This record gives sequence, C-alpha cells and structure tokens, in this order.
Amino acid sequence: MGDRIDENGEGIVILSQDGIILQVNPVAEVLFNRPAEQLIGNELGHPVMAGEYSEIELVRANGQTALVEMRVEQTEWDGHPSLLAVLRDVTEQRRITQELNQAKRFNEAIFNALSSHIAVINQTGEIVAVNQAWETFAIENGAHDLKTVGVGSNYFEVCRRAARMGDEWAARALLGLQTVLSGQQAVFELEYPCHHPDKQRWFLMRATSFASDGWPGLVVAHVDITEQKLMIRQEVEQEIVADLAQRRQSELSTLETLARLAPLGRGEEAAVLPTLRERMPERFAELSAQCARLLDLAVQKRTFDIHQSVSGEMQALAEYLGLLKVGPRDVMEIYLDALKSRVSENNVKKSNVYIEEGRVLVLELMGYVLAFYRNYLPPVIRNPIS
Amino acid sequence: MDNYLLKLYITGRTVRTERAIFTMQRLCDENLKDHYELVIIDVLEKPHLAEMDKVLATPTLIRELPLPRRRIIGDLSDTQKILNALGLDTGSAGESV
Repeated sequence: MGDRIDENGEGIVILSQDGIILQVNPVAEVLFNRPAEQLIGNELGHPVMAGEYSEIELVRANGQTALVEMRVEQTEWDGHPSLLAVLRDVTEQRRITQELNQAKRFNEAIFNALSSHIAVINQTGEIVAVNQAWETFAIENGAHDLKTVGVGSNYFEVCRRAARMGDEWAARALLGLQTVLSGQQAVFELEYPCHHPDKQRWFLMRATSFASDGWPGLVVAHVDITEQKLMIRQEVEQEIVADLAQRRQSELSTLETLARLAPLGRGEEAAVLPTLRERMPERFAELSAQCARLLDLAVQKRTFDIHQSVSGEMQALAEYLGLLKVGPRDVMEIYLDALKSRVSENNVKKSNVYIEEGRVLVLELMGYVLAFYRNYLPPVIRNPIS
Repeated sequence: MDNYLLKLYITGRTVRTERAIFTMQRLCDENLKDHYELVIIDVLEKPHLAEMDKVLATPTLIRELPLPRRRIIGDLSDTQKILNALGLDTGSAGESV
C-alpha cells in the first residue's frame, strides 16, 4: 500500500471510517497545498457519494481551491478497515469545458437572436444546425414535426419534393444552392413569394458557402422582406395614382374645350341659339343626373362583369335630347356635368374608370342622337350636327 | 427529537453548491421539521471559519449537535446516504457513522 501511495500519479488519501486522514501521497500534498504533517490526523470527513465519482473542491492552504474528482474504495490500513480516496485534479479540464460551453452558449445566443431564419446544411443537403427563428417559423407555418424541416432533415430533398409538386421557386432554389455548393458562384439570392392565408409575404433566400472542419456546406438564410416589398408596391401605386390624376385632369380640360368648341346647331343658328343649360337649367340638371346614372351602370357593368346592356336607356335619353333639339355642345355639356359629379365623389382610381367608360358612353349617346335626327325629324331641321 | 445544528461549507455559488444547499434544506425540512438550524458558510467569504473548523474540502457538512460531532464530504446529492451518515434513518441520532 505504501508503494502505491508514493508512486501514484493521482492524489491518494487514506481515511479512517469516520473520515480522519491516516496517510497521503505527495500528489495529495500538492493538491491540498499542505505538507503531509498538516493533513495526517485531521478530519476530512466521511465520503458520501451518489455514484462512483463525486466532485469536491479542496480548500488549499494558499486560499485557493482545486476542483477534484474523488473516487472511494474500501481498503485496509495497518490491519484496520479503511477508505482509499483517489483524487484527480480536474480544475483545468472543467475551466476549459466551462469556457467552451460559455463560448457555445454565446454563439447560440447570437445565432438565435437573429431574426432571419437560418440553417446550416452540409454538402448532401442535410440540415446540421438551425436557429430559433427557423424553428419558430416552421412551427407557425404548419410544420407539425421539426424532423421534416429541422436538424437531420434533407433540405435538398424538401426542395425536390416541392419542385415535383410544381413549385417553380423551389426548383430555382435547389439549382441555386447547388451552384454555390459546387463553387460556380459565391452567393445565391432568390426573392420569392410565400403567402399566408391571412396575408401576403415575400422572402429573400441567401445562400453562401461555408466550410467547417474540412467539410463544405452552405449557410441558408431566409429574410422576411414583406415590408420592403409592400413599401415599393405602395410607391409604385402612388406613382400610378398620380399619373391617373394627371390624366383625369387632362381629360376633363379637353372635354371642356370640346364642349366650348362644339357647334350648337347648324349654320347661323349656332351663333345665336343659347345652350340647353341656359335655356332650361332645371331640365339640364335632370338630364345630367340621368346621364350620371347611365355612367354608374356602365361602371357597374365593367366592375362586376354584368352582361346587361344600357343601350336601351341610352336610346331613350338620346330621343329625349333630340326632342329638345340639342346640339353636340349640349350633349358634351350634359356628359361633362355628369362626369364631373362622379369624379368629385370618387377616388382617383374609380374616377378613371368613370372617364374610360364615359368615353364610350358619350360617343354612343352622340350616335343615338344623330340617328334620331336622321330618322325622326322633318327634313328642315335634319342634320343639325353636320 | 434532538435539536440539530448543521453547518454546510460551500465554495462560491455554482450549480454544484446550489444543488447541495437545496438537497440539505429539503432533507432537513422533511426529516427534522423545526428541530434544526442549517448554517451555510461560503469558504471564499468566511475563510477564517473554514480555518477554525479545519475544513479541507467542500461541500462539507458538519453535524455540531447533537454530539458526537460528525463530518461528511461529497456531492451531497444522495439523500438516503446523508441520512445514514447523520444517523437519522433509524431515529438513532447520535450513533456513530
């Protein structure tokens, strides 16, 4: 026993059954930072172990501590049953492990703090690491089992399956990932829609090559770019609306000019006859309202794809106008008044629909008025528009 | 039941020491009810007390009362073994460990 104590590379302490130190080896002296004479005869304590090993901290003479792994065996010392405590210094080992764990936790915290959904995949497409955002997104979007999209699953296979089901974005993503993996390009980016039943969403997938411990792989990040997309869309819409507003204003100005230029009747009469608005302002207002209603019908027809003709009502209006002996300028004024009322009541987009439908409607109305004059009026006042 | 005075020497506040404290408090609450006092001593904060008690390792649990004095070391996670060491499993507190 004496030889074992002196030659062993681990700290050896012989204890009595009640924990009194009977002998120590030189390694134990170093571990305790105390000479044998200060240790022998003192009470270390009866070892209570949960398993084969127990970790304890030695209180050294210099005030420092040493973390040791203690193993206890039954033995015999000077003919009495005793305990053999073997001490192995694990201070440095634990310190390194602790630092590595801290570094790992630090890296994981950063990885998980990123809002992008990130996965690291190896050259076969197997996902070897994902961050919290990736898992959360997967669960929120119906992945009942992370095995299908989490660590251990094959990302290339996921893309292949989706591509086979007709997802062209998945096919393009797969191709891009493989070009980066083969070194044909350093980075691959793909903007793709990923709409949810409740809202539209777009993502940017960015894949970069990655090498760790000699094996090549990819870091795949998906960034939600919905906000940027919607912002751009909003800017484009604003430009379109501004353009439409300008066109509306231009259209109304042109119509006003046309109304002023259009002849009232034929020959000299045109120079002297007052307009319908001047002659019959109340009737003019009624006719304008009726024309506006026809505009409403035309717009409804277009908006809701209704196959109901408004020609009948328009013919009736044209006949009524013909009986009042209106000229082209009157027709233009009625139409313009009706159009203005609708434009003032609606937003730019809808106003433009009124303008577009109105162009067809006023031409049709003018044609019906002309047809009325040709067919029903006596020769003396026929062709007032010519 | 005898009144127990127990001293638990620890080194700093680590997972290991917190586990030892938790185990001892639960063990005392369940087995000694109101008949105990458990004093937690951190050797880093009170090295003089550790020196006076000649504490060579932590965690060390010292049963000061009832006599005779008993001292155990280890990870203190096995409740039954601690009860045995303290002589509490058979209700024969004071017997030799």
